[in-house]
Amino acid sequence: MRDRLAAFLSARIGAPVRVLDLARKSGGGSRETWLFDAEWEEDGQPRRRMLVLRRDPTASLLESEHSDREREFRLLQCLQGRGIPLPKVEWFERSPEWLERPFFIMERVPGIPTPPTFPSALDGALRERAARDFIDILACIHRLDWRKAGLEFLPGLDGDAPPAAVQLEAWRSLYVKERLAHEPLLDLALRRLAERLPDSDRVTLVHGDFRTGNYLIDETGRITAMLDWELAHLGDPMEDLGWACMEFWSGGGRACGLLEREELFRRYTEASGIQVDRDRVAFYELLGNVKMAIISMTGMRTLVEGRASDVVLSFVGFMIPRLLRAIATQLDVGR
Amino acid sequence: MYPAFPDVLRAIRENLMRELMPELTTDYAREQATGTLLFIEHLLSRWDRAVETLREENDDLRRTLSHVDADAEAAGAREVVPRGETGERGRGAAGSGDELSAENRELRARLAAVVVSAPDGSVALRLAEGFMVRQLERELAAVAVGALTWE
Repeated sequence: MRDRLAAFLSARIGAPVRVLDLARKSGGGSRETWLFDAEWEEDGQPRRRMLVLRRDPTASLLESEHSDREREFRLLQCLQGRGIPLPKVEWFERSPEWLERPFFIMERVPGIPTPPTFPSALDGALRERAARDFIDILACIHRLDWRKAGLEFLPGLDGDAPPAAVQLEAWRSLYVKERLAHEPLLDLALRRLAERLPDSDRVTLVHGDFRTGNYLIDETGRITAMLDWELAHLGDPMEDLGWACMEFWSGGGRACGLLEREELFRRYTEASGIQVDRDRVAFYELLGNVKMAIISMTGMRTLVEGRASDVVLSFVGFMIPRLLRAIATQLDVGR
Repeated sequence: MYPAFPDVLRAIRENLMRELMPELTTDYAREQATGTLLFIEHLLSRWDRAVETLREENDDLRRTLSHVDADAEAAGAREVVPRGETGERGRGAAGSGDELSAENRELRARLAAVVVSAPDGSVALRLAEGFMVRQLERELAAVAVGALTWE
């Protein structure tokens, strides 16, 4: 791996590159993450850069057009310098010639990842700082003029169909394709969602996986980078709020372990100027639980069929009952 | 004399903990091994109930589907639950884990057909929801075994 990566970088940089401290990181069920330093000489001076390699796994949590690497790379390029803290992306490679599978390389931003729920043990001031950045970044994403930023290539729109209908159909299709068996609660949820399709008063960039666990923070709680843009699309901004409000990421009564739901809505509206529609948020929260259950099923399928071996993919199967419980609650099943 | 299933699992666990893990040199390898260890603990806690749990689910599915049919017949409606590939209902003869799983897929597909087509407020939908509640309780109990958590 080290030598092949060095060969790729040497070809791209035009000088012999040494790859140092190459280490694979756990987590991120949809692709491999490797940290490393690259060292080379430029104009007689030594240069060293801290980089991250993200490579397609042999099989993953999300195996579909939902997670196109090249599209994510292009999106990150388009979003540079638009007020969203992001790693700078450097190279994308689809050819298997170098590292067998598609990958991209980006700069390594200082900061540490958090678990999917902001740890309650951490200092309150740290949490408040992270919450402030969380809201500001979300507002920035939703205020972005996506046409001006050249994001028409993103999926999510289909003629006059409401964005919710496009998302529902995409995830329903994936469920039909990837399920190992019918999950009656998911069948019921998909039926109810189809009956309750909301329209949207605007179309914005939607991150698609906006939550704690997908950003880095520094020692003060400041968010240094928003990561994992593979599910980004154009759609209803309430979708990101619904996803962030899922019970699955909540902790201590706080959305994503950061702040109470009503507080999130109030501060989001202040920061973005966009009114929160609670019915639409509820729709997308239910769709979020369905989506996460389907992602988990996809992961289980790759494992059951022997196409993957990452232990993370085994963990996701254990998430499904918790997601189904949230769905049952939202649908009033059993009450 | 041969080692029983839990004895083999315990042997694998001990080997992983005492022999392999101390030799692992990267964080990634240690994290993967720790995850594997958690799954072995989970299997040790659950292996002896796994087949019975699946059989219980299938029995519940068959009962639910038969009540749905009875209700439809009483109402004079045509059959609402499609028959499975075998055309049998109330079979309940599956024995091995694989047979039970195959039967489970078929029964679930038949219940799903009820879920997507039964009118709101119907007895059939209420019966299907009753199964969902009971099944959810079974699944939550199954994954609560061991030390597996999302965080």
